[in-house]
Order: sequence, then structure tokens, then C-alpha cells
Amino acid sequence: MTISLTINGDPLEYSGDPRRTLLSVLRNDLRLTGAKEVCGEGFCGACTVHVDGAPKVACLIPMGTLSGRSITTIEGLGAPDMLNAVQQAFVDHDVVQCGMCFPGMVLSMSHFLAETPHPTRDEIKRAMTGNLCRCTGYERIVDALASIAPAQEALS
Amino acid sequence: MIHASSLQEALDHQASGAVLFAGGTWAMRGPMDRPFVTLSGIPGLDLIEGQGGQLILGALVTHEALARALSTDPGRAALALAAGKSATPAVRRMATLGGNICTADFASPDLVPALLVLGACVTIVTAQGVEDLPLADYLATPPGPHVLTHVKLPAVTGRSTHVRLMQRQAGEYPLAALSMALKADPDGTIRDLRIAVGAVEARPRRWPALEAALIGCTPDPAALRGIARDLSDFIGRDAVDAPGWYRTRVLPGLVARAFATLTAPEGR
Amino acid sequence: MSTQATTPDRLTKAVMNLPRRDARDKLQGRTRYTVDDTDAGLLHAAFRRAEIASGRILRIDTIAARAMPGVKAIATAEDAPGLHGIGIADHPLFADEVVRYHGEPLAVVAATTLDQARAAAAAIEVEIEPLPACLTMEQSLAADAPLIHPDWQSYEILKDGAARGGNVAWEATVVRGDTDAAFARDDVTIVEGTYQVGRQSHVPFEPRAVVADYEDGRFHIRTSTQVPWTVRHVTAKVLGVAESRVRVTVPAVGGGFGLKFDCSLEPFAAILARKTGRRVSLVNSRREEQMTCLSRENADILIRSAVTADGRILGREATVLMDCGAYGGEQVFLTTMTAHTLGGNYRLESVRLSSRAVYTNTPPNGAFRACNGVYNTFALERHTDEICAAIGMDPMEFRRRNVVGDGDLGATGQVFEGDVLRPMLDLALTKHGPHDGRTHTDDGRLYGRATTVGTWFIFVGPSAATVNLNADGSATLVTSGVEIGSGTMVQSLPQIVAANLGLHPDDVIVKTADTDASGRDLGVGGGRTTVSIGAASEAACEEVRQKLLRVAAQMLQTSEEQLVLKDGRVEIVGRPGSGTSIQTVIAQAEADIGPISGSGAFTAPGIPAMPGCAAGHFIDAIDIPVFAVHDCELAVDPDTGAVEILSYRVVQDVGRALNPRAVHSQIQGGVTQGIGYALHEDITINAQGAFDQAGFSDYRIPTALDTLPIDFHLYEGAPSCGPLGTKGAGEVPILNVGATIACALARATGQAANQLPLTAPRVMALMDGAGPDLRFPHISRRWSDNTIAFRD
Repeated sequence: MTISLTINGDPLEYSGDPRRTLLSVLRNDLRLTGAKEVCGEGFCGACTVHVDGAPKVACLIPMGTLSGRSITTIEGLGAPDMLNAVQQAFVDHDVVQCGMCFPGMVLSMSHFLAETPHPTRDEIKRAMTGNLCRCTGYERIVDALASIAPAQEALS
Repeated sequence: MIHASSLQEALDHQASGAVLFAGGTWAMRGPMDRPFVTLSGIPGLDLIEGQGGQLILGALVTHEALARALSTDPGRAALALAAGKSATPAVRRMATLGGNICTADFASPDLVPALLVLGACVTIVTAQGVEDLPLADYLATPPGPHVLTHVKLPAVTGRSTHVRLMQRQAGEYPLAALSMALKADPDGTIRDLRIAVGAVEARPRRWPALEAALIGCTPDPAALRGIARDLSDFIGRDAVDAPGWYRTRVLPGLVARAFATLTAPEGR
Repeated sequence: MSTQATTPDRLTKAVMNLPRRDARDKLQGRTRYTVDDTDAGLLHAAFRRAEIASGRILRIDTIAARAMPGVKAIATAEDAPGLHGIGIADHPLFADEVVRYHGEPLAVVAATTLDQARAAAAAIEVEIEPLPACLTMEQSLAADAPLIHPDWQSYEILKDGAARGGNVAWEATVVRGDTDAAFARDDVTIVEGTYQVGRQSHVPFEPRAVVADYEDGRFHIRTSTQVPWTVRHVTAKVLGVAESRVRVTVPAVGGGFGLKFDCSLEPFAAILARKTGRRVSLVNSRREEQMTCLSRENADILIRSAVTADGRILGREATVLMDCGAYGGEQVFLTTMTAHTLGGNYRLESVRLSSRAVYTNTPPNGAFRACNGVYNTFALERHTDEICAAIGMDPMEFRRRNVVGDGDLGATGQVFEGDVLRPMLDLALTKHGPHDGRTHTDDGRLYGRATTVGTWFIFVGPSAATVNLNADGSATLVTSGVEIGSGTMVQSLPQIVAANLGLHPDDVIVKTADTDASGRDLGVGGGRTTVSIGAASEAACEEVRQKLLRVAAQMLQTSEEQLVLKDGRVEIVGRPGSGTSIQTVIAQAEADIGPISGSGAFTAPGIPAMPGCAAGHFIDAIDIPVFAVHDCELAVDPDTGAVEILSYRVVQDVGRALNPRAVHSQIQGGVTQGIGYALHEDITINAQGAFDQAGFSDYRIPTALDTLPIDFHLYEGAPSCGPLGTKGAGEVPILNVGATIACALARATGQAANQLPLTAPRVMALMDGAGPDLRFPHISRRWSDNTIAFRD
């Protein structure tokens, strides 16, 4: 059985084991290694991708359920020379450390801000609970997000 | 991985050993050498529909959809809170109502205590046909091979809430969870009360002794704690996340907290 | 040219909030960590690990596994006969004859796919006869305990002078002054306390991972490490090859926190690369990463103090038992640190310390951010509060009177320079106000506040640097530093080089570790990168500068003393625009003397201790002390034992902050990790000798909702031999967090919060009067009984 889907706009015909995770296919077959395998159980959010525009954890999604779906990974967000507003705020506030959680963090929080243009600090933090980070202690990331929250039009 | 397009198909595959696959948040963490049968191709399983005061929820409704749909329904706030505070935002987009109920070896399903106090019935389909049964009965005596298709919530008149105790503020299973549905007279006398407890024992269950003791009373918080302590017959489950004694030790406090929420003037 | 005259200028130029150059790629998912090497043609490796804490290996049969699909090679103990270790060589690569911990490698398989490697590893036939196990230090120190290393006396000693014996892997002692006399006085109050901490897991998001290749008869190891030179050394040692045959390079590292301050997976992958002639990837699964984490060690601590009514500490005796697990590892070194952490903070008129690494049949422990310091500071600060309660003195007043200042002696008799802690304490008090008598929050929870002090140090040691000037006027800095996330390689180092050469930091290319190209280095850890590599870089810059100025002076017909490097130009002092571009000078230099480069080196200056005080120590005194004052307010829910941190405030001695924003990031991240350590992160060891917490579902690292904005003040100006007066700032933020939270919680609940982590069930038990039993039958109240060196 072949599963047809798109990944970052490119069509993919997948005919391997349908139980394989999207994360494994992204990383090992397509070499899209921006999604990280960290906990492998859905707790950490480092493998977050957009499935039809909604952030989900790629480690728990089997390929067999993705027929007709459109996947966006961090590599497919914006263009190489163009950061989105969340990425730009993270650069401007210099919040990145080891960086392993950030692709997932960017995808989760870009979606959150698109849905919640004027969030409170607490709402930002609640939205971030599925994206764990071991380096930063979060608050400076929250500062960065809070700084762009009112400027939603900048989000691509 | 097989995609069922009808319930009969799902039942057939289940009979030949396939594991039902809903949101996948449990299935994908188990052994990968099993055949799965997905339910997402079966029409109607993601439905959220009010019928009179009754609410019908498809088994594939996600936690996120549930929390969103119930966000303005104070009577079913317990379920909205349980769904909205479970797991993480991304997992709430994937995990389903049916999966939460049907993962039988999971002691801490968030939705189940809330469903219990809201008087939920479940609709199951077996080889013999379609059957509605109270959730409590379903949990007590798990039926043979079946597909759980819907949950029906009766009309509500009171208020409800859900208290979820964790070590951290998010991102983990509850150490203890308590749902409460309350109907009170204007003078504060408890007219109807349902309490269910999750995560403390192997499966969530109601707390009938405490419910019975409090109906007709107007308890103050201190008395409430005392009664809850005296009437607790829970045997706490020892597990890595918390010792059993702790799960039962905190219950009076959770009862008091839920009660205070439901009797606070502004409601929530 | 006068160094003194240029220092303020260099400092001014160096200080800036330079943003990270690696942020864009990290945010776009383009950064390739070691785990991201998924290229076709790689072989994948998987371990077969022991699932027993202690046993005799009867049989390991790989024949069937070898015949399975995709399998290319299997390695076992016979492929790596050497032993390695710190201080003592006690650690084989694979379990050999005996298994000493659950998870110990028995064999490793390389196959075409990871699934094939795992299947073959599982198919290896293993027969192990169970032996009695010691899972706790109490069991290991019992009179009839089985020896975990029966052959301990035959091991190669890598550092002389320590007492060892039985299940005590290493013992470091400090004896200064006459504590017996102090404790015997009739005008002292004797205060005794016991303290216990569990393990903490680093949880780097990139697990330990390596890709090894065998090229032209040499090993090339690409690895996620903090210590490329240690990896080179250990790999060579256990494989029995010359060190020069091993090359180590390091891509971006996805978090370390000390876990990667030791060689780990690299030799296994190297063996498989040699056996197969192919590139081999070996990556810990998350479960393996957790279950074999070289954790911050659990420790059992007894402190006794003889204190006068006016708060003088006449005598202090302490025993610190550090669980090293099945092999000595980092704990052997860390026994040294007790002298400076538990023996730190306060003036002691006499002191005796016993700091012991104890073998158990549990996974080996390792280094973790402010290792040893975190729990000794917890024990010391709780003990200090217990002293204050016993003699009826205000805890802040006691600390003000006793903290070490200019000219005071440390535990090993080193003389401290400068008053640092007391002014920091005063600043904290002024800034945060005195402790009031609040006992409850407005919503009825129990309220507590505490202020603690802590002493940490910079682990200096040797570093080397080369600076090459490029024709375009940029400079390339070549060192063995690696970027583990802290930003040192992309912020403070290019800032230092740029300030020295009159460049913008963007024009400083930073080459990360390649042991074929960069000089030897102790590694990235211990807060040492900015200090040691920074100092070596400054020295390299000095050579570059001198060469540049010599050529420029010729060109500009002036003396070198009249020239300054500024904004990419060589200018004549006081005459901006009169000079020439650095490119022009470089071009001239190529013609005159060849391309300009400079090399520099740094090593520990070696502050003296009092002779004869310390035995079994790797360093006798600390070259760069670092001090911290933390203040925390918290609320405890009496119904659940849940703790909420209401405020957290830090005054941190940074020497000089070159990049204040980056230091802030370290403080926010370090304190948050400390909150996890203090409250949530628990590791328990079950009857099989394995950790109960195998992944993110049970091991609880803080989420965004479990921290808060950390208030901070960077205290500048304390003495430091670091470049431009810097001290490392990344390690120390975690130092006092467990201490401060425990002290505040003790005040809130009125109970002895002497065990970490303070999980909600533990706090509930404390409030119920059912706290832990910390009587410690394995630690004698007679100090000398807790030593080998001084036992009767």
C-alpha cells in the first residue's frame, strides 16, 4: 500500500511499513533532521511538526495515518533567508542555547501565536508546556514571544 | 495497519487480532509488531452533538476538541478541565476520548473521573450489535471484543469541576485526580453530589460513601476534610510517580478544593 | 607596550551583548548534531547490556547473532582489554568476567540498520550467575559487604597519595587545626546534622552519540562530547593504541551539563569501525541514556560543628559519602571538592573532612554542573540554619559574621583574597529587604524565605589557542573548545579575540575542537572555557598583535608603542585615520615575514594551600573562587505538599561579565535546573539495581510553568586571574538552589528539610512528622572512624 502525502510542499509516495513513525521517515529517509528525537513518547515536543497546519508530535504519528496530509517541518517553515516572527524574536532576544528543542518550540509557538494574537504571559507558558527545554529555563523565550505577540501580521 | 471504513470491518479485524488505533498516543508507545486497525475512516466517530440536553461525543473526539467544545458549559466543566489540562497541547490534539476510556491498564485517564460524575453512558458495538451501558458498568466489567463508538452525557443542571494534582504544573499524569458534580439549594444544602477519583487506584471510580454522607448537608471546609478522611476507603496505588499513601492522603484536600470551587459565588 | 594601560580599553571593547551566530541555523533546523548524522552507508550499532546488578558472566555467545541479517561485527570484552579511570584505572569498557551494574555493556553490534543491530544484540546468548549486590552505600560499607572490586589493590594508580580500600574507591581528607580540642570546650554548642540527596540526571536533549570511522590507519571520532582530549586518551588506552592514532572532532553538542565530561560511547564505536572498515553510528536510546546516566551522585552527609554563643565556628567535622556507582569515575576527582564546598563559605578555626567515593552495584555516576557543590552547599546551608536555631542567632547575622573575607583561610589553608561574600550578602539584603515574620501567604499556604551563600570555583587547568590572521582582515581562532549550548564559543571567545585585535567579533572565525588541529585542553566544563581558553586566546592574540605592530610600525614610520588596533585598522595613537587597514599590514607581513599567526597557552596558576592539610586531593586550593548569594520565597500547600516558588533572586560573583545577556541566560537556565533538582527530579533504584525512571514520563524536568523569571545581579570586581577579570558564569547558577529552597521550606514548615529532592510526597511526610530516617548507621559520629587514613 502506498501512502501519498506532501512534506514541505513536496509530494511523497511512501510504501514502507505504515506503522513507522513520521519522525523516523523524516530523519532517516528524507534526512530532514530538524525534528529531533528526544523522548520518543510525546512529552518533550522536540519532534513537533505541523500536520495540516496543527502542531503534533511526529514520534507518535504512524505513516499509515497520513494519507492526503500536508506536513510542514522546520525546514519547510518560511524560506532559508527569511525567518518568521517567532524565529526572529528568538534571534533578537538571543534565547537559543543548545538548540535541540527550538525547531519544535518554533513550530508550536508560531501556531499558538497565530491562534492567540494577544496572549497573556501565563497563556504563553501554558502553550509551551509541551515543548521542554533543558538549557534555558524558558522565561527569556517567553519574553521574546511576548515582545512579538501584538505584531501578528508579521507572522507568515 | 488496516484502515477500517465501517464498524463491522473494524470488528472483523479486531477478531483476527488487530489492535484498535485511535489517536495513537498509547498504541505508538507499545510493541510495534502488532497489526493496527484505524478507526478514522469510519463516519461519525468525531462527532460532538447536542440532542436536547444530552450531549453525544464520538470516540475519536480529541481532548483538544472536547475542551474547546465544552469551554462554555459550566455543568460539564469537569470534562472540559480534565481534557484541557491533560498531557501537552500537541498530545491533546491527537489523544482521543475513546482511547482514554479504553486503555484499560492505565490508572490515570484524565477524562474518566469527569465522565463518571457527569453520568456518562458509552455506546459499544459488538458482533451481537449495538449496546448502551453506563460507563461505571463498562469499567467494572469490560465487555468482550467491541468498538466503543460514542459517549453520551445526560442533561445537567448543576456545576462540576475537576482537580488534577501533579508534581509539576503540567506535562505529566496526575498523581491523584478528583471530579465533582454538585447541585445545591440556594441555602447551600447539597441536593445532589457525585465524586469520582482517578489515579489513586488501578482504575477511576466513584466515591459513593462520601457522596451519600454529604447529600442533605451544608458542610464547612474543615468538616468536609474530616468527613472525607473518615470515609476514604481508597487503597492507594504504589507506583514510580508517587507512593500509594500519598494519593489517599491528599484526597480530603482535593475534595475541599473542588467543593470550594463549586460553591464559590462566581462559579469557577 | 603596557598591558595595564590597555586593559580598561580591551575590557570596554570586549563587553557587549553579542548575539549568537549559531542561532539562525538552530532555529531553522539546519544545525547538524552528532545524532543528525543519518547519511546512507552508515552502520548502526546497538548494545547488549546486563540486566542484573551483580553477577558472574558464565557465557556470552555471539555466534547466532553474528549470522543474523545485516550484522557486520560484534565486539565484546576481548576487543578492549584495557582499564581506564580517573585516579585509578578500575573501569573496563565491557563487563569482563563480572557484571557490576544493571546496564553495563556486554557486547555491541554493528549492522546495516538499527533494527537489525538491536535484534542481533537481543539474540546474543548470555548466561550470568547472580552474585550478592550492594545497592546502597550503607550496604557497601557494612562490615560483611561483598567487595565490588575484589582486585582493587592490583589496579593501576593514576594519581598517588589517596587512601583506598574495600568498597571505598577513593578518600580525600582535610585536617587543619585541633577539632578535638574545639569540641571538648565547655563554652561551645555542638550541632550535628545529617543530610541526604538523590541522583540528578542531566537529560541533555541530544543523548550521548558518536560516529566513528577508521581512516588511513587512524580512528576519526565525531562525537557529542565536552572533552575531546579525554575521548582521545581513553579511546587509545582501552584499545591499546597510541593516542596519536585517534582524531576527535566535535559538531554542535545538544546539551552536556557535565554528562559529556567523560569518554563514553566513543571507544565502542571505534572498535566497530575498525572491525568493519565502515563508519559506525552509536547513539543511546533515551531509555539507555536515562538508565546509564552518569548522574550527579547521591550522597550521605554528616556535619558536626562546635560553635560559640557569639557564633564563632571553632570546630567542624564532616563526612561526605559520595556514591560513585560501580566504577570510580568522576567521583574520585570530586572527593577533592568537598574541601572547598562543604568546607567553604565560612571561617573555620579547625576542621576535619572526610570525603569518600564509595562503590555500589549501581550505574556509575559522573559530573553535573557544579558537581559536588550543589549538595554540599545544601547540607552546609541547612546545617548553618540548624546552628542558628541552636544558638539563637539570626541566620543572616550569622552568615555576615562568618563568611570568608580578605585574608581568611579556606579549609585547606589557602588564603582568600578580597572581601566578596559579605558585600554580596549586604547587597542582597539591601536589594531584597530583611526577612519579615510572614508565616502564611494570603491564600493560606505556608510561607518561607531563605538567603544562602555558596562557594564554587573555576576548574582552570591547561588550554591552548592559535590565532591565524587572514588576508581579508578576519582572524581564525583555533582551540579545542566545543559549543555545548552555553554560547562561550560564539560569544565570549570571539569577543575576547576581537577586543584584543581591534576587530568586530563577527570577523573572528571560531574553529571548534579537532584534536588534529587544536592544542590540548581539559575540556568544556567547570566554568573554565572563558577563563582558560580565553586566557590562552589572549596570549595567542598578543603574539599576533606584536607581529602586526612590528610590521605596521615599519610601514607607518613610527614606533610600535604609538600604534593601536582599532576597528580593523592599525592607527597611530591620538590620530584617528592616520594609520592603515589591517589587510594592508597583513599583506605587507606576508611579504616580510609570512602569514601572521600566534599561539598561546594557559594553565592553573596554582594557589598554595597549607602544607599537610589535604590528602588524596587532586587540587589543594582553588585558583578562582566564585561566590553566590541566593534568596528564595516559597509557599507550601498544606493539603498536598506542593511547593510554589514565589520569588527567586541571585547575586552572582562573575568577576567581569563580558556578555551580560548570555550570563542572564545561564542564570535563568541554571536556577531552573536547580529547581528541578530541589523539587521534582527524583531517581530511585529498584531491587534489580536499575533506575525506576526510564524516560520523560517519570523523570520530571521542569516545564515552562515550573519556573519563574529569576531576578539577578551580576556582582563585578572580585579578584580573578581570568582574562579581563572574568570568571565562568555558567556552572554556578545551580549551586545554591537546592540549599535555598530547602532552607526556605524548612522555615515554612518548621521541619528539618534535610533530604533532596523535596517532592510533594516527601514534603507531605515532613509536615506529617513522618520525615526520612537519616540516622546513617554507616557514618560514625567519631570522625576518624569514617576514614582509612586516620582510623585507629
